[in-house]
Amino acid sequence: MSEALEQRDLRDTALDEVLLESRLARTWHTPPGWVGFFTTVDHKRIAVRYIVTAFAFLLLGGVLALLMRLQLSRPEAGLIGPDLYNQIFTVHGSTMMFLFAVPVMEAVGVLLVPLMLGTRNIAFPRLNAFSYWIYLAGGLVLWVAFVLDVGPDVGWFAYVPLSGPQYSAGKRADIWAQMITFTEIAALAIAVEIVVTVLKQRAPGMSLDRIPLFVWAMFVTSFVVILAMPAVVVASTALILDRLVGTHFFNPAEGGDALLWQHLFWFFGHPEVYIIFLPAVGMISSILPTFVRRPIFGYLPLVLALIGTGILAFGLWVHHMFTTGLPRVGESFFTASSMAIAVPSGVQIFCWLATIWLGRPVWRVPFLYILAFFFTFVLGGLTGVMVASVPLDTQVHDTYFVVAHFHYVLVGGAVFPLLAAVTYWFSKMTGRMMSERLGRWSVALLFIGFNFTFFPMHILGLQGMPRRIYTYQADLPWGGMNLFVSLCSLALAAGFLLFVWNALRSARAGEAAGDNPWGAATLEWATSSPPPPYNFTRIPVVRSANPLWDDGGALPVASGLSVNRRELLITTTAEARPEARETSPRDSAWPFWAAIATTIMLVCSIFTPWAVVWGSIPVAVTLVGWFWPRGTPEDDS
Amino acid sequence: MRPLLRAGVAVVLMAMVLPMAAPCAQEAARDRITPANVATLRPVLTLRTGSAQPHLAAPVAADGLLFVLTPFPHHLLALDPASPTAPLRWRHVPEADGRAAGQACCGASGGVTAAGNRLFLATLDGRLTALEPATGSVLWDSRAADPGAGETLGAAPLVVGDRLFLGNAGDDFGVRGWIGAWEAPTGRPLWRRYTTGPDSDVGIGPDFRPHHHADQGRDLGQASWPPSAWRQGGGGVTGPILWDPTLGLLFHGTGHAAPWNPARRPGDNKWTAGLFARDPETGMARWFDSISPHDPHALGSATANALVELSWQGRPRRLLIHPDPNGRVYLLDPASGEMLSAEPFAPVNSTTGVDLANGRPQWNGAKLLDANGILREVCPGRPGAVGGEPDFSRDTGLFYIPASLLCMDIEFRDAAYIRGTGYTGANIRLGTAPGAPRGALVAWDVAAARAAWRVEEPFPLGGGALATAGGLVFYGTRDGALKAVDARSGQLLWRFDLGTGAVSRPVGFLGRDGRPYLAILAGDGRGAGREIDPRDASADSGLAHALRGLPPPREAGGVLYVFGLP
Amino acid sequence: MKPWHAALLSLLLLAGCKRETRQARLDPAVAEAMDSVATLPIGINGRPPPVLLAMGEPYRSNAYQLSQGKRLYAWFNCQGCHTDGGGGSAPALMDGWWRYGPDAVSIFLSIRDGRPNGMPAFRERLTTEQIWQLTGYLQSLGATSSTAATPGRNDSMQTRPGENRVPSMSRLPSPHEGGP
Repeated sequence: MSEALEQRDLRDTALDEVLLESRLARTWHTPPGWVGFFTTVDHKRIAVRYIVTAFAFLLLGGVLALLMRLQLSRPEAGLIGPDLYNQIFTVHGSTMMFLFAVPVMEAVGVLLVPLMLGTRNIAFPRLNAFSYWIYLAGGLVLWVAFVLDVGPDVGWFAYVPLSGPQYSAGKRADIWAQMITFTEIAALAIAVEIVVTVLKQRAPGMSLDRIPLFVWAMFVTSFVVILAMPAVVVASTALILDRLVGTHFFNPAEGGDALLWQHLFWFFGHPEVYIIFLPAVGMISSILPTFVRRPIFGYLPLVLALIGTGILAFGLWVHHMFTTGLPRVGESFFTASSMAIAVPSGVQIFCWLATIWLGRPVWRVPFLYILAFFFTFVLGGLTGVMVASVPLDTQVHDTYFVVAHFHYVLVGGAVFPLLAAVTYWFSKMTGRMMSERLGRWSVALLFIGFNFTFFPMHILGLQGMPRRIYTYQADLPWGGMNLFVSLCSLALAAGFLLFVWNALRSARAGEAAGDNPWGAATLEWATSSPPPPYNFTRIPVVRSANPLWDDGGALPVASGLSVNRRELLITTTAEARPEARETSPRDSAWPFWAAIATTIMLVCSIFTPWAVVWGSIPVAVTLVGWFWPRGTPEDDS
Repeated sequence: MRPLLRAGVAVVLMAMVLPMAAPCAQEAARDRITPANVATLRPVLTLRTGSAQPHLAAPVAADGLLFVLTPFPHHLLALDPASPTAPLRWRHVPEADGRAAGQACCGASGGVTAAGNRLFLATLDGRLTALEPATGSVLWDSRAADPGAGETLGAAPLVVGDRLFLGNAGDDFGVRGWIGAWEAPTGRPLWRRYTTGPDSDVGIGPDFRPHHHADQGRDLGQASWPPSAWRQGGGGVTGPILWDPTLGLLFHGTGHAAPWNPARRPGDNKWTAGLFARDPETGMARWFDSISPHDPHALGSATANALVELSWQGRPRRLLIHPDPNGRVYLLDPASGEMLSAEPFAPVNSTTGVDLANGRPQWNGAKLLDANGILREVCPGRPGAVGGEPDFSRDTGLFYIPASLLCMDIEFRDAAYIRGTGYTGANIRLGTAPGAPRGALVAWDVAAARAAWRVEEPFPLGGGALATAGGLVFYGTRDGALKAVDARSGQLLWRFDLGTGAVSRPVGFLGRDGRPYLAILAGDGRGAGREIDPRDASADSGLAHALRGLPPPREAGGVLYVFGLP
Repeated sequence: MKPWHAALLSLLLLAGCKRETRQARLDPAVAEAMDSVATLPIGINGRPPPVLLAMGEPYRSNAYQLSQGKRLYAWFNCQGCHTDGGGGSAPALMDGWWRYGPDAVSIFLSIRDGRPNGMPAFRERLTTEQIWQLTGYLQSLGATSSTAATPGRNDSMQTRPGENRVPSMSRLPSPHEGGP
């Protein structure tokens, strides 16, 4: 019997439930302790690690924001000097955008997409691990540099010529540019994994029109990442070359162009905000049905809106450059396209409103976050349409009006849905519910604190208060409102802290949750909370878009996957018919070592171009180790 | 019988006389250097000056003596080339103000003039001295320029009768240009007229009759500048001043406007970059021709001029020839300043032509920039297309211009005026199309207003040309050659290796023994003593990079060569 | 974040990075003390002000101070005579040959007091701190090796490789030959 159990090609059809679960656990588990920590390829563990790290960066960025508010609360406060203030707002922006917003959305995707699709692991699991280590390295590079007074001080989008070799002395701007490289490698890696997972690893029967909306959102987002990220990698590489080697990409005197930077950056930068926003939209679309107890209204329009937003996102970037003196016909085009993208967003909002209208709301915390999202994001979208107009933008560009706008769309459009998602899926990942009472307090504090902090900034911007100033004179009329904003930011901070406290406490001592505490419809709720390392004992078969609602307690399953080897099911792209069995890689330390080698190469290349030459040798060595064939038979049909 | 006897006596007499006449003919042949005997020239005197700086001032010959002025800090040497064993008669070392050592740029060198049995020395650091040529004793000594402000004396003074005329240099230091007159016997200053400022300073009075409308107005030397910018306006009279005995007028060009960056000085910037005709008694201006209004490339017009008499468009005329740094040869009526012709002698793209009616150049818009920024491939480049003093030959009717064919990339930036420091506001790179010659000796047919022939040189020419009555043109090159070409055809007849580049004008004179001599003071300042790093393309105002490919000179410093016929 | 992570970060805070500090205003007492250079009688070399050593020689090693020196080099007409370091009517500054010695004190004195052969005195035109910034920059110009603090090229016409490309500078090809 035990010999039979050890047989290499043992299939799950041969075993009963209990034995199957224990054998699968043995095959798929990650060893405990430090070994498991560095070698795991389990998408859930990596994703949770990613999310925790991203939230740590959120808190760090939030501390910087509070420091800024402290400095600006009074005219000429004198607490933080101009140089430190410059570093603070740059690191705040860079942390929030590159180290929190994009990674956390990607990470939630890494966590949920395989579960929602009914597969055992994400595609390219070692690349997934590598992605986390590279992301962590990038974050550490930025923060260690900041602590050492080498933090970048040129704004989170580092315009040349300020960030160029003449006006930015030292290595600060190079640190920023290299941090970009780190985080973009990480994001590209995940995007590639998600695209492949969504196209080829869906549960049998999950045709394109049955894919959960969150998965659609991650899918579209991944394409946006793949098409947009290279632009910023090119820009940051050109910047490093200009500074280190003396090329002339951005030197107009020798044929370069300072505006080239802005084009390259914003060609990435505008899709970037949709990289942050689309997953959030997907979260809303996946969470909302549970809390109105009916399927989402307008599945097809929502999918088309996602795709439309993803495509239109590439046609807006010049609206960040309205004050650079571009030809009028260009400005008109980009005004039109910036307003046009409100259309798919509007479609989505109306579909959600219709869902709520037709359903029976359950007033639990995730739903409250969604309501907060509606209010905040729509307000931000309205000011977005305002700044899409060139004359208005010319007035408010680089003032606090724009600061208010983007915080509204980012916090409203991304953070609130994210917090809803964390609250919602917390029970799935930890097996415990977050406290409802603390959650309601969090929503209230966050909603009120956020609005009272950022709404007055619209007024401050219209009164002429510029961005990125470290202080202002007493005779300007901004002092009172700045003090009010700073005080209210404490409420916002309290809301975040309460959320974090809620999460930490509930993880340890929260109310136990079952498999499907919310009564939701998608596949991840079909497995235990927390899910076993192999996700599903047997791969589910899907017959509708809301499998758990439509099939009740008896979900059909597919069987035939191997038990003693890590194996997952490949299905066809459109109809999701089973196609092949694919081996999924085992735990490996090579991603970690490759990340170390890459980090050393990239950090040293800040100081000398030879680092790229010499540093590529260890990288090549680790990649050879990573890809060394293991004699695993592949593609058993 | 008797006719035969007479013929025989005539033959005998002729036979006696002719041999005596033959030596006379040989004597006559040795009076001048001609294409026939130029190849026999050999150095009779070689003297090392010991100075590593560029030797710009040509030696001066008077009374069979040769007076040589070395670069700053000066030594003035009186040499007798006829006695090669002990040539040095005396040496005068004027007291030097060291500050001028940092201002020896841009063609300023000081100079010496011999006139009326006196020697007049203008030193770079602003000292004007009269000396006794035989003994070198100082007759009088006067201060003419202040090196503390960046002001230097650029060229040798002009002496006419008992007056001495001299202009200043220092455009690159923001010094206001002027021309002054002194009494030659005593050194007493007579008048000084400035290039910028109110009419009373410039010498614009009721006798001023400019030919072109744009030069008429009140106090244009102030009005055509931003407020008070004329005080640092430049326009120095760095080149030689020309005297016309027929009209009784002085002609001189004014230098470039300061700073180089035209965005810092909107307006026509009168009276820089133009030509003045002045009354020598009072210095009051008779007419003015604005060659480059607003001077957008800071080239100026302070080059040497010449007066010629030849047939222009059918009738004989006296003409003033002005080869301008902007690459054109201007032909003017010396009485009125009327512009008759302005054709280019070098490749020019900064202007497309000159409107002769109103005297204004037609600028090429692509080569104009009135803001900070970079202009590429502007031809001609600094310091202008005229490399050295030209010379005119009446026999051939040709005007021989040593030309520099360089083009420049010029980047305009901010400039702050700080007294005594460089006031330029621009960075320069000089160069030319690959393979194209960087210099040429242009033989300009004045009557036809075009070049008759040109001798191309691999490097820009820096020294002057000497056209001799014997039908030769002598000039020195930066790659260390002293060349003699046929004045009519341009064919190279003789070449001598000087061992170091020549950037001064050759001088021909008759020695005390009545024999012809040719002298050249060679030394281009490229030896190790001058500390220029050619890795910087803008070093030496771009010239160091324009001369790349030039091997280092054999001689470490300057060398005076005197050549004679055997 | 575990407590020891925070502790480590705070420790690093203490270390700081002298290369990158930017000090907008010098303490007046320090500024005055920086003028006290003890010179040898020949006017070359001497002892730099002790306060400079106490500050860790920022004008030679701090990126911000070097970039300020580079800015002052253009703003105070050094380029008029010394061009971009290649020289002209004044000696070259980038060839590593120093008439009055390569040490900071000699260069400081050249700028502050002038030199006999045409270098004007800038004591009335620049503050002492600015003269030290220029000194530090000039030393990086004539150096044979570059540090992480050495400034890069300016956003202007390229006449020579940037200071941080020393010592790999070689003869530039002509712009008309397709060079920079």
